[in-house]
Amino acid sequence: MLASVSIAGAAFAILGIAIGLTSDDEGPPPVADVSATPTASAEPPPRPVVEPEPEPEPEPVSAVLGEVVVEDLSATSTGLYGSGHPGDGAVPTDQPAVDAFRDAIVAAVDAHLLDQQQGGDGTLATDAALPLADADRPVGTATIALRIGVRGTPEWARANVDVTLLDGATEHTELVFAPGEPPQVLAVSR
Amino acid sequence: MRAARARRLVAALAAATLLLAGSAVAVERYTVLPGGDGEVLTLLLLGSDEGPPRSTDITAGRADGFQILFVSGDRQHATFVSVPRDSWVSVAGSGNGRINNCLLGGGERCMATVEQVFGIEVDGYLATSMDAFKSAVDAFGGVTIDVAVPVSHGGADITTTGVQELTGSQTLTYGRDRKTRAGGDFTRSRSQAEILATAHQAVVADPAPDRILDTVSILRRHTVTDLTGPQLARLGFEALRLPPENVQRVLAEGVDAWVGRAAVVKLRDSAYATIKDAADDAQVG
Repeated sequence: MLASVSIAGAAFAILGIAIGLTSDDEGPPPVADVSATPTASAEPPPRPVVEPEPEPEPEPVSAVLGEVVVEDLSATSTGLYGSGHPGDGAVPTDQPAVDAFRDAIVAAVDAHLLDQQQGGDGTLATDAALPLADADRPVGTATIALRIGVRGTPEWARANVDVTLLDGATEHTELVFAPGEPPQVLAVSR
Repeated sequence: MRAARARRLVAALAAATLLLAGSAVAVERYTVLPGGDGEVLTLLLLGSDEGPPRSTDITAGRADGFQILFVSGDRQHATFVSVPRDSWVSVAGSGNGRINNCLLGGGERCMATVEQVFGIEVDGYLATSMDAFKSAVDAFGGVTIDVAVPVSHGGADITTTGVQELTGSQTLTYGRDRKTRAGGDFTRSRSQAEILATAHQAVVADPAPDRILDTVSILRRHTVTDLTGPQLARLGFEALRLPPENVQRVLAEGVDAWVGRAAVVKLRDSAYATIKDAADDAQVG
């Protein structure tokens, strides 16, 4: 290996001398005042700088919200309270709170997938790894189906997460969230 | 670009359709997060008689169902201690009386009573009414019990013996009767714990995620509790860790006695020792 490198080096050296001699002896006459730029005509024009192609940024993951089932956890008509008792009435649903919880879960899953396809471990706090994608297997589509338990405000949500990677593989997990900023993972399927 | 979007949309719709069709994988194992704090969890499980006449307010009644549930910090062991409703104790805020009177002051007063009488910490309570109990059992799909002797109480009789699925009304009968079976109030207390342990076995035997959340929802809708919705959900998943064979059922022992004209139960020293023992590591013995 070393020998071949040396031979190649010698060959380039000889070639360089030959070019230099040729340049001195047989070069075309200067077309401009070389006194002002004595070396300009002797050197090749600078080549345009070619910037290396930037690494393509992973596309932001945008999970599609699938079915959303809101389950009313009021005690209405369960026999816990008699008909007409204040406790038997339905607890009015705080819809903006439900919507915010839903959006926060989708955002949390999005962030987890994006982090993983950028090479990270994911952002959902799950004690153990929850691999759904990675840098070599970016996400094609992700769908989240939600079941949200609500008693006035959200109390929990089960998220069915289905991921189809660009290589065609699929991943599935189920997460149970409690409200929080961000939503807290209560349980995760293995 | 438009074609790519269309492909993604089709894929997403396909996935959503699969979910809607119920083909989501039934996952059998869950990790509950974060891990337990290592402390024994102590809950009171109370069944209200809703007072005479039925007041439709469960805290206007007495706690005829009275179970103390201890769950170990690692959620690997649990013990139900069944406390006879007529146990004569010092009820928090109202002097000596039957322990079931505590519910007249709400679940919190029952917690205070148990803490004061037995010298343990209680983390929370769940109380239900008779109608809600029946409704909950029916929503759960019934409870399978091995009935030793026919039982009758208030109409929904259990006329045959052996393993059978009981309706909500029959399960209430099984948990209330203290006259057609030997042992009276003690047998009744044991039966209540048996029902709860059997329900736990059913949840563990069918751990599909929606089944767990169904059970959590049933608990939420059919009980008054000081636990939050997320706490109940966590408990539902933690219950999966608990092997049914590691669930003990013990009775707080006592003797029938009279206080004036009131028939009561005087708890034995062993009852106090049993409860202290269970509070230590959720195991007795």
